[in-house]
Amino acid sequence: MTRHYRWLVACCVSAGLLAGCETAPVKAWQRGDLARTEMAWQPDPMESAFRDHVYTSKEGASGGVGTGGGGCGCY
Amino acid sequence: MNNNKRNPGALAALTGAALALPAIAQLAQAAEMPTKTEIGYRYSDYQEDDVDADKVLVGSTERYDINTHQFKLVAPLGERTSLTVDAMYETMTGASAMSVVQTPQGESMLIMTGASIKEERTDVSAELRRYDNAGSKAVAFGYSTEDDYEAINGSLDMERDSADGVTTWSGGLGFSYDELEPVQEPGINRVTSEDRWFINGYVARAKVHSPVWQTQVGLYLGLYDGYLDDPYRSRDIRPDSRQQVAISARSRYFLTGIKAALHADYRYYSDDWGVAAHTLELAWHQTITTGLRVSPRIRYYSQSQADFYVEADSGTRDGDQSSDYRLSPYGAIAYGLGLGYYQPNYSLLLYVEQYDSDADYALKSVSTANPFLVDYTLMTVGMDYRF
Repeated sequence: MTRHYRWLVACCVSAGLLAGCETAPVKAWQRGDLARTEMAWQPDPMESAFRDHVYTSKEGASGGVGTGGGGCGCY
Repeated sequence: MNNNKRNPGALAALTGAALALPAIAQLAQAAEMPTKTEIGYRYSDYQEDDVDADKVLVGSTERYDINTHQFKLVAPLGERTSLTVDAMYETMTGASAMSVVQTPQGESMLIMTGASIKEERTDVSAELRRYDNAGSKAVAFGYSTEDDYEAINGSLDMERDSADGVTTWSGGLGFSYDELEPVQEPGINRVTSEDRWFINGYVARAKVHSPVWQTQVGLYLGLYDGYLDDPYRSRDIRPDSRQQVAISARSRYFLTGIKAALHADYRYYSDDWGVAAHTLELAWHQTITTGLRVSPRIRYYSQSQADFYVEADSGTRDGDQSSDYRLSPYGAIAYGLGLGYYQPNYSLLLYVEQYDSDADYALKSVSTANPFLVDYTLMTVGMDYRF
């Protein structure tokens, strides 16, 4: 893993900048567009879960935001 | 997040009336208390392309065909608690690679199983989530069983909104305990019973930047401990632990003028087996008419090989080794289309995805491509019903 530390550091710094940049608070009545279903992190959680299941079975990488389940399903 | 967010009636009334959109059940950056009971069903047909016959030395060229049924129930339990139940049942037929061998000419060839593999898998999980004015907490348990595999898993998750509603922190811890009892065949010496643990956790921070833009960054850690070999390969010896780390970033931007949501997701993954991977996914969710939405997307993936990946198996080689294509260097491009019809009480959904993997798609050049790299087509149809 250590060989990839530069990428990790770069990602962490970029992510920190992205998350940390200051903005004026958005009021509740301004959030209509943010509340639309297509603006969700996963607009269709069932479809996202199944696609993640397939990718995890077929690729060397896995994980992201969320805790993983169990079982193989590794076709 | 504002306090109204956790009040089911107020939120539904406010956002529903303001937008005149059906079935807005959540603000995007945090889990939301459901206001109605919802049941969902998805049917997926997953078909892998056959292996090139000139790459197969022995066995079938047919790869997997999998049919999957998914069920979901989301229901409010009282004022501040929700129950989510997920169930999945899938059946699989097809052949798998047992070994990669090298011909005297230096070409990698596959030894496949016969086309007789048939398997079923059932996976059930349930989550209880408790909401308060500043976020939510959840506990979940799951059980999964296959002919040769049994697993239990559980997790604890929580979300916290900042007082000004701009930032949402989320995090969770999960575990899985898996037991493996490989199907035995005459003349093949396989392990009879093995197990492994998997512990993982994440922390993420979501932020609202403007009325049309929000982002989320996350850190994920995973640790496997136990038996991690593939018992169905002729020679597959892997370390008995695996440490994973992933950094992810997601962006959601709404183009008000044309009523479209642009999604951009990136993940960098690394583990102590030597695998590093980049994943980038872009999606465009375009509202055509009220209730009708089309969503094209494209996903790029590239990974490096594991330290112990070998291009061909050898019965005399010592130490960790595997010719599994999932540990080989390659890249993949997936492109898909989603179509959804949304009404207040129901939704109809259709998704199609084509996935192509190739050594030439990798970010770095690959000298020898694994002959078992997968291409597949995935089609999903489904519906949701709310009452």
